[in-house]
Amino acid sequence: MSMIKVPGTGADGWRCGPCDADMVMKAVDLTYLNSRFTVELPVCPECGYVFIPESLATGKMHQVEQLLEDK
Amino acid sequence: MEQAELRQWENKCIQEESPKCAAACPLHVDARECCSLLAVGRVDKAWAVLAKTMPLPGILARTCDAPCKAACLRGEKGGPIEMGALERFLADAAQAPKLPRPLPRNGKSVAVIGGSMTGLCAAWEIARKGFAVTVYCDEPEIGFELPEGVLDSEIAAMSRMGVDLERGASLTPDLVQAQLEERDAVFVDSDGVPEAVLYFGEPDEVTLGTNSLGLFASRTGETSPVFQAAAGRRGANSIMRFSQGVSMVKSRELEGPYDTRLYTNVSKVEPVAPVPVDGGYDEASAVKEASRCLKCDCMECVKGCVYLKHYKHYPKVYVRQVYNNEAIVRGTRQANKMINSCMLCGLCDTVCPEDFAMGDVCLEARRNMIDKGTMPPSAHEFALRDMAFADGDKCALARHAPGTNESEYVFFPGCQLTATDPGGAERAYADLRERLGKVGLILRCCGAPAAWSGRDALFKESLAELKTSWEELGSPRIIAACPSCIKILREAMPEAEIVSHWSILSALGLPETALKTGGTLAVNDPCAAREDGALRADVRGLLDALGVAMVEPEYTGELTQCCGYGGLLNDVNPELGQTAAKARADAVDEDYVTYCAMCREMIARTGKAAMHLYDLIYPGRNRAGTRPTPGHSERRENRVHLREKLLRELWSEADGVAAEDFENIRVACTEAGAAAMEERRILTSDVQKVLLQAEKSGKHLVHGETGRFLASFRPAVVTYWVEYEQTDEGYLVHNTWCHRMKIQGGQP
Amino acid sequence: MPLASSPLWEREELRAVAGETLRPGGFELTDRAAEHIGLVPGQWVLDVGAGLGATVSRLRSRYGVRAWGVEQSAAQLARADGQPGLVQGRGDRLPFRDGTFDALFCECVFSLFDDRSGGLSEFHRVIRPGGFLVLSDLCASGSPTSGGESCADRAVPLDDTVRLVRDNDFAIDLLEDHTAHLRDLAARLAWTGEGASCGCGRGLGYFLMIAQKQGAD
Repeated sequence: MSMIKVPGTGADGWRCGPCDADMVMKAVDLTYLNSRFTVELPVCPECGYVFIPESLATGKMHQVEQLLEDK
Repeated sequence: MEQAELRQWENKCIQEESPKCAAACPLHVDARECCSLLAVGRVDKAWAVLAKTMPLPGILARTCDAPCKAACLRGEKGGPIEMGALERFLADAAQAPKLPRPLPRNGKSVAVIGGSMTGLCAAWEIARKGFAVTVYCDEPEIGFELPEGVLDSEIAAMSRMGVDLERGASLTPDLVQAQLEERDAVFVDSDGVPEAVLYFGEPDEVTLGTNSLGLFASRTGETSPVFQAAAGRRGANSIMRFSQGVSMVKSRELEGPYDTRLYTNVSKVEPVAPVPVDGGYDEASAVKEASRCLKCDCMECVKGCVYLKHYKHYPKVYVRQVYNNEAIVRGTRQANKMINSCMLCGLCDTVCPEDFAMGDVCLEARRNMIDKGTMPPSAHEFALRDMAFADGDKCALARHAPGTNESEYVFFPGCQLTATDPGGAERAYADLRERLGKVGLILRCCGAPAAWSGRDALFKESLAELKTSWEELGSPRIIAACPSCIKILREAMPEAEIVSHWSILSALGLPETALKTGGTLAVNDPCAAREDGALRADVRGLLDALGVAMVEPEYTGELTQCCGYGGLLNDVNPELGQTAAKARADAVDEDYVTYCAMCREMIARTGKAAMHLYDLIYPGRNRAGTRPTPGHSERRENRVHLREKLLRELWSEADGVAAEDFENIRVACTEAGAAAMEERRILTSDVQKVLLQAEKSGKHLVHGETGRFLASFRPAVVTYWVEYEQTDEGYLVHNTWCHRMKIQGGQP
Repeated sequence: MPLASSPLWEREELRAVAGETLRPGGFELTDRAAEHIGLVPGQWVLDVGAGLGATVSRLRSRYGVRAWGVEQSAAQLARADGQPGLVQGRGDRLPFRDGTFDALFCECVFSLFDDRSGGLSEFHRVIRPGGFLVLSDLCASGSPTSGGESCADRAVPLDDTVRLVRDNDFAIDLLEDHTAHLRDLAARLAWTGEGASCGCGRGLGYFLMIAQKQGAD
């Protein structure tokens, strides 16, 4: 499946604490109900911690969740 | 919902039924539409409404005797619309519209015998249906004075439609019989021929048929021009059916004037007298008169309900949307939110002349969605979690009164009261024990969130637990304070005796703590009290005893409006819930008093002073009406602390429930952080779980500039993110958000 | 029970009370049957026991069907005064070819037939396959009496009629009790002092039956 890029998605200044590393954009699998998406998200290159920015969580991600629920 | 059920519901909603004028008109001219257009100066369009349905409009508009006036509801408020005068104005002033094309010629022919209004209208209508028509008459005879050229103009129009006029014909029975043999049908204008021609007896009143097949005739003695025209139309309809060999009678009930089911409430209409007609209207006076039209429609339920108004239609449309929504197998279901937003309060059912109950439709639809697995998971989740919490170890309790092992009564305050006014609940219980005696206590939810969300199985489970607790206490009489609890439990537990605290207080009298400072308050009846007249009376009796002067909002008692919490609206659609609360708040100038904890919260959150009856009878620290409204987390804490306190003080028991790890995490919030938690329904416990996880795993993000930390955790079906800094006192939360989508790959 | 000097249905009082149609319910059952069957213009319909021709007139003027009436009594026909569609004849010897009619009405007359089975078989003959028989009449709640001149005296238990209709190759489509109409007529007759002697309403019921001749075209 092709990777989804959401404009404006970035690390927003957040870095991984324990690894002391800057986040890089990587393909991450997200699932909700019976759907699966591959989205480019900020990820720690060392430990793999994924960052979901507030704007994404309350924006596009929320819209997709509502759509999948037929809400 | 089956199709048959859909039709029943659609049929109940009368919004699309004809206004009285159109129903009373034997031609069903839409006078409402005509006035609507004329009132905004669209003279030609207004005339087109008449000309497109009337036969010989140039004549009929000038002679019409307007039977609609007798039915016009404006008649009750100043005087009926002067439709006749408006018709005459339009006939003179307007441009003739393009008439709809007649049906294609069908190769059949009809003779009309007699050229008075009935015969000419019959010819007009028959020609429009595609027949070739010949009118036999001496002279076309209208019997009214008409301006020069009008009759000729209409006859010319008829001629263009394919009507031949045989002037100077000799009208005899022989003519009729000869035409019967030659033509496909004959129509006799009984008032336009000599009596001798009427050899065939009185025609049938439904079809205008006679015992000579193919011979139709108007019934004698009709003097009203518009009824004459209607007779011509009826004859034409019969001839059409006869020639096609289809039923002569089916579906003709609405052909003549009938009583419409449309109901229009005119109680608030100001009387305005008709514009005097004198010699006739000019455009200015015609427009003014047309503006007096009430534009009759129903919309009674929509008028009183924020939810029904919000979706911009009315129940007949909504129920079809619900039906269509259920029918979708693949594809998006757009109406889920609408289905989940009904407050299930019963107001529409009460005001509707046909008892349309949107609540019944929506609740059934919700049950259906649960059965089929199409209910959006997030719709009611927060409310159900809250219910589960209220029924969980930390909040639930069932005990006999301290120092006893049997209960005559048990107090059931309900989960909302303990969440919002735990002090009031405590004082109420103390009073009951003191003045009534053996009163036990059950703390839990009555199951309303499960019932309202269509989750019948969950409701039954919860009910079973409740019953077990109740039976273990010896099945005592239940004293409930919340009208929703009372309603739900009375229906679910018919074996139990459930009495309202208000009725107990009416019998016992007010306690000494009661504030008899009087004042004027508006009474808000919770929607669950709609059908409980005794409950509403008990409350008013208590308010009276408190010296309160009561003001009733317009929608009160049986007609009360929901505060926005009912049916879980405020959980499903917080914005609409708040709109409903605001509408309720704005309905009166005075401060409100109510007797449901959630009504009080919803109204108080809009900024209006509102009190629960306990604030007057069992007052606490705050001045009545100013008790603060707790946020989501505080509500939970209130329930937990109340249980702990009562166990300790009344039953000398330690809590017995171990604190969970995360509860030791000390959390404070900035204003922004607290606001984010409240709006996004993120509880303190959720934040604590994230912070605990961050401690355990060591995983967190740090911000390059602010130095703050960010951590996440997914306890169940939602992932929470918390932005924080560490302080001496623990954690300070700056911001928090959440999402339901899961990150694959094991990030906890 | 004293016998009337002329048949009840020929007497002034009954006509005045029952109206043009000499039977309980007037046109209500006729209309009910016509609409149930779905009569349309062009169809052929026979009324057996047409009396003054009121039903024939109704069927023509309201339903637009080619309605004909057969009436045994010359006196009645004379009073019908030139109304189209009426012929003299007996119900058990109908002057029509086989399979002529889409529907046959026999209202409040069947109980007067001496030979009911013969009558039904004649009805069967003149109705086309798939056509309808509309039978409305009195029926008895108790045991039938034999002889007697008025329709009330000759009422028969409904089950007997049902069996007879089936035996003559009709399938029953609709069977309804309309005793209320009978009671209403009896009550109205009581005003003219005839209630006791006609027996209407005592141990009697009234039914509407719609049956279909088997073997559609």
